Amino acid sequence: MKILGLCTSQRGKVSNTYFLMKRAFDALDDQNVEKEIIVASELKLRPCDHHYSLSAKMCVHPCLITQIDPADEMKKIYDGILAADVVIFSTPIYWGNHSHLMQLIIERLNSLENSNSVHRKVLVKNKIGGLMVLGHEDGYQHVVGGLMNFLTEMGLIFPPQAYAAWVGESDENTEKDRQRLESDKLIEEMFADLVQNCVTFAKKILTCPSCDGRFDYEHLSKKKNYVTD
Amino acid sequence: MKPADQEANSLKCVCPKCTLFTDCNRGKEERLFCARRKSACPMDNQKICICGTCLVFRENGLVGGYFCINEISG
Repeated sequence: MKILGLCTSQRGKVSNTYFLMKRAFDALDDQNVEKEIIVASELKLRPCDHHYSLSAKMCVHPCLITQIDPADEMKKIYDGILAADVVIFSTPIYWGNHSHLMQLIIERLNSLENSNSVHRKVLVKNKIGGLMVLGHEDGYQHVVGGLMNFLTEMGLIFPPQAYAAWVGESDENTEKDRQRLESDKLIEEMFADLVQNCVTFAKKILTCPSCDGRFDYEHLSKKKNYVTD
Repeated sequence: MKPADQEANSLKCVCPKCTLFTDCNRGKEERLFCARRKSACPMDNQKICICGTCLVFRENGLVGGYFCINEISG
């Protein structure tokens, strides 16, 4: 089993977002689980060109940018997601929304999601999703709701309470946040529990005794925007 | 599969209207890359492809784009 973390803070490995994700991943003590964290800010990620707006058939996997721009490193994220059983995204909150890197990745991931509409082929399936969200004073439930909207459409399966979140005080003193995150045991346990819960859920749901060891399904959406041949 | 390389498709082709299309392409009388081959000119992969707006693309059930850079095999 493989668990992938995608940290989407622009501040990368010095961010609180990465700190919480790394600590929670380190806490997962399971030799049968391969762990990887991709730090999005360390990759060269070209923004989506929105070719979907011209034709849905221009937005399928592999993404056109991935095909024609050798400098673009989004392929690491595509390959990471497709190879993982559990995918956990982490994002800071800025003015009530997820990070710009998270938004860039969502827009680029449209090519994975859209393969269902164009080729009737679900590329992201049998994968459990989780979210880590933190900010200083903004609302995390709004951010979680927005992210789940896309990520479930893409094909991730979210277990109950599939996110861990923390926001600080309603003030401008962000300097104390890191110390709080490092010392508060409840915060540490919340984020570690999320990782453990996602892995436990993955083991339960992806192993179906009545279907030869592998839970499988087809996406049965009757959306009217399926692209006809 | 590649569309047919024929006059009717050439007339429908939007390549000359594309932001990637340059004087180099014009000089070499290139167009209809999806039916022929990729361009022999240096192409700017930072510009936005318009293949999906083309009748040749739609009528032939093509998927993808940037056929001036990314030649269709077969």
